[in-house]
Amino acid sequence: MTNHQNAIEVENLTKVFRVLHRERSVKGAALKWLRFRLPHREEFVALHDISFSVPRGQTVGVIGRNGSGKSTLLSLLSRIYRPTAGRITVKGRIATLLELGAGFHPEFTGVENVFLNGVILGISHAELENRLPSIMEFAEISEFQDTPVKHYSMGMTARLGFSVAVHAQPDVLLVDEVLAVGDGPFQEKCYAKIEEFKAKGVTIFFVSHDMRAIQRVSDRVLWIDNHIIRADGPAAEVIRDYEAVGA
Amino acid sequence: MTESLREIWQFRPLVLELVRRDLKLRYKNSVGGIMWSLFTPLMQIVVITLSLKFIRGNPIKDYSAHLFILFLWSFFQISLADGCGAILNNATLVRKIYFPRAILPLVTLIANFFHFGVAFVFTLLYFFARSIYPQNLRLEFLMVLPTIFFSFALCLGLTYIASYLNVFYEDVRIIVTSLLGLFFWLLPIVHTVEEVQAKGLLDIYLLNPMAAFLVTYQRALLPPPQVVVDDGVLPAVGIPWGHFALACAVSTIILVVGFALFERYKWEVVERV
Repeated sequence: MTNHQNAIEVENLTKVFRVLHRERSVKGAALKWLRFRLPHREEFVALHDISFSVPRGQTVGVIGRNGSGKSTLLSLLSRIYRPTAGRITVKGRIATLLELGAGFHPEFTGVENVFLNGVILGISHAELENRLPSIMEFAEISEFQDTPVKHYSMGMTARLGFSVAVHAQPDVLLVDEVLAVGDGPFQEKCYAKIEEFKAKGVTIFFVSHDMRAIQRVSDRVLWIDNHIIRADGPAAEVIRDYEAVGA
Repeated sequence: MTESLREIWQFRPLVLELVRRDLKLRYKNSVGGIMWSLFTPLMQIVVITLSLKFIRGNPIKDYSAHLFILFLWSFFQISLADGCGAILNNATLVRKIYFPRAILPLVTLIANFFHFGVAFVFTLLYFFARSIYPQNLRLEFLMVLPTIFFSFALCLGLTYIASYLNVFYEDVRIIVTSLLGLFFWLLPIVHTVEEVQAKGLLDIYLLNPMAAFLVTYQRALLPPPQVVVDDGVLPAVGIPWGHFALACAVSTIILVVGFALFERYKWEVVERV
């Protein structure tokens, strides 16, 4: 099943979270143990036996209700969690945008955060030095680049985060519903950037509840429902079915 | 495990950047900057020197210089206490971005080690300024290097264990901090090793790896002090070679076990933070 043209391959992926009802302190655990109450666990299946592959350069939109497993899938693809069963192969440099300014430190200025975040995404310090003006320009916060990020608005933080990620020149870009907070013109710029990436052959995996956005950029849509893939096909079709269910 | 090590090596630019973040953050809004890290141990040295002057019948000459080993203990103590929170305090990063988790305890240690470096340079400058050096500078001084190295290894190993446990039980940090406070009294700071030897407890005393390291460090920096008691001078204690070797072996084992434990449970840790 391995194909050289595939950027992402997911085979029989299952993710089970163990919810431990356990004390959070040594004191509590010891007291409980003294009363002969051992920790019990509950299991929660977040994704059940999912398989798909994404050819290099394809843009995949992921839709589904809250709690269906979309974000878990993205976290698994970015190697934050380990699959309980099955296999994931992602080829190339991955840039993940799971949350607005994840890895931003509120006390640091915009510039300092660009360096911190950029290095996390795998850009070298020297490279960042070169790309800094371009990152700031894209994020439209050059004026505030020396202001601590705690004084930024949501939109500004989102813009800076997105800007650093796209400047990482990733092979695979994983985005989780982070563009929604930007204003119209900035969203427009992001979509233009995503289209530019598509042209360059970057594989994009994009989670959103905004059907217009999904329709616009995706070649293909995965609909995840109740922890399995309910539909996988051309964007227009899957979105039509999804909306028909009244989600 | 070799693969984990290789990965950590690949992520060294991130280690550097995070260390830089730690250091910058600590001194973001302070005028004295990094010099503040010297303040607490120096105050301790002053207070201990003064109080011993009053308590002891026969004060030891230049005992304050021997107290400069406090900087090494400070490094150990603060790193381990800080290190407990290495994973939890970076929860936002850990939950959202992939990188080898094992670099977080390492980052805390390196940042604190930087402070120790400053303190070490300060120690040398002080010794020269007070003309303690060069006359007391001996070949034994070279032992400073392995002592620092293995103290670091021991601290890192313990930090791996503590930071992992702290994710599951958040009061581990409090427990570790109070234990460290107790261990202070088992080190050659408010008493001399010569007095411990006089009581016949030296062999047990030196089983504590940090005691072995601090005694070695003290004797590497300076020759043994003259401890005068009512009926004469206590016999001097030199570098305890055997106990030092044992402490190095124990530290290495703790580091290997701590790291292996951390690596084994790193995925569960992420789901738990």
